[in-house]
Amino acid sequence: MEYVLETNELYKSYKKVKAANGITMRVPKGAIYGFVGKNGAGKTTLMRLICGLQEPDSGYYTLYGRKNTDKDICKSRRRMGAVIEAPIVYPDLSAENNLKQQYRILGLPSFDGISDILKVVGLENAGKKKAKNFSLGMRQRLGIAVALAGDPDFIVLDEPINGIDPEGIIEIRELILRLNKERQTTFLISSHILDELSKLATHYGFIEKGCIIKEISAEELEKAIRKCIRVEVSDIKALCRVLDSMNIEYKILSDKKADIYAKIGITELVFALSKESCEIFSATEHDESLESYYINLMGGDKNA
Amino acid sequence: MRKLLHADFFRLFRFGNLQFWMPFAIMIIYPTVFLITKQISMGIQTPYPDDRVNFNLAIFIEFLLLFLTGTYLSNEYKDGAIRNKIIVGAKRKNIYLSYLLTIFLTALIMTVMWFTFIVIGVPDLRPQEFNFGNPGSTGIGIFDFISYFLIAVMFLAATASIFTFTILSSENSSTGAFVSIIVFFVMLGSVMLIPHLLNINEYNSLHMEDGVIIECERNPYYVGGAARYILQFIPDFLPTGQGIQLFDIDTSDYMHTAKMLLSSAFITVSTTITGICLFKRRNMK
Repeated sequence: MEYVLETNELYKSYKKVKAANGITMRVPKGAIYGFVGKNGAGKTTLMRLICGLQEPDSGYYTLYGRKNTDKDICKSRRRMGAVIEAPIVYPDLSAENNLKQQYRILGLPSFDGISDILKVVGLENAGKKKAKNFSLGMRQRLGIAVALAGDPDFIVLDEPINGIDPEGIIEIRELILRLNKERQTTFLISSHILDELSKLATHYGFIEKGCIIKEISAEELEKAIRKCIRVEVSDIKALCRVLDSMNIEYKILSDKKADIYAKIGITELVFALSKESCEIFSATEHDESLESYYINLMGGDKNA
Repeated sequence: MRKLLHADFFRLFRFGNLQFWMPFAIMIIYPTVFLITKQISMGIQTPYPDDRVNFNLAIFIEFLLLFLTGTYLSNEYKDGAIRNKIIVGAKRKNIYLSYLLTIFLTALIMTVMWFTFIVIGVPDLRPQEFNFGNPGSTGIGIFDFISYFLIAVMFLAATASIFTFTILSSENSSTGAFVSIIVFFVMLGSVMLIPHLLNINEYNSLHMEDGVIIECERNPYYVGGAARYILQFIPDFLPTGQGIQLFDIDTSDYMHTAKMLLSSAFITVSTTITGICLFKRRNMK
């Protein structure tokens, strides 16, 4: 498999805090890599390192096969776009002029394509309004538009849907999926909104305390996540007694709902519950979410 | 590098950029008002005074340069423009040099404007038909003029390098701007203080009998030896010192002129090399 980004034992400390504690990860070409971790886990540090904003204390990474110590690493970076933390926009310029400035920085011969990019991010009607008067969502979209200038084939997005309204979230999701599908653009995306990330990502990297604790593809994740039966009953205590007697793993969701992690005969369960005068209102098959997988991976609810 | 220069020039010089055009507006208004009020106050037929030049704007321009560099580079930091250039593959050395050249070009334009006003304002340099009344002699010839221009260009290049260095090698933009202000006023204060230090008498009192000194009380504050040499050198070395004494320089003293030019070149090169090294190592947030 061809990798756009490979990191090997990357370390970075700020004074006594180890922000990156031996990060080793691989982002396959054409992937949408969901980067998942708590605040302060080291996601942004990793992004800063691979974008050249900071140098690792030790370890190395390769971008398109070029090592970070290679004097030509800048050539690999020219194929990248990024929005890390705050979107990079000139507040005193309009959306169009922001893109023109980015075109100048990239040395592009003409301003062709600017209107297409503005259309893609939904800012084609922003007109002469200056970026300082944009809403947070518009600024975020402009940041993505700037990152798209020059047709990069690897885009790094740090919390791209922060502050964006539901419609905007859908638009950005569709934009990412479209670019990935049509142009084979590789994405590295960090997000706290795991449900949203699960709709996009083809690969995941889970980071904790500056270390990658698990890398998994979406297909593997699909296989790994546990199936369960979500039941709604009239007496949750009775359900607990029955499941305990059957030695079955379960999780109480509310005073009427619970997830049962086992292949269980519904007739057998109904029969056992009826003896306890407990009625079943519904029973549906349910997949464990990315969120539950992440929480289990991090060691349970206390880490959530 | 060419791409960055193009982007930086456009960013700074673009129409509507107040931080760029305001210093230029001041550069035009201030000398114009100065010339007109001076001519009016002296009367149209009154000979020009014998001072060498009527408006030395060196410190004024250095201060404008401080304002311009501070606001321009601070905004570049704040807006994430520097981060953006690194992300898209620009080399840090080129980013630094591009900013420095942009600021230096601005300083050069200011110097040309300043010397244009000198040509207009100094009777010896302007065409005779533009002289009002009977001008006095300022003694400035074309050779002096070129020498002064060269010295001015060089010390403004040094000033631009110092401010670029202090801002781009600081951890954040506000610290950089603050340090630049401190550096400027320390440079200015030191060259204003030094003449006073050098004027301190070596002796407090001398007792003489028949023309022979029989008793003398040495002044403990007198600066002598190597310290005196260093103090004499500082105004020739610092851009602020060169600016203050610019039109008093005897251009026939080639060594003195060369010393000033070399000092500015040294400051420019050393701050730029050090600045690039520090900027390369900086952790950008």
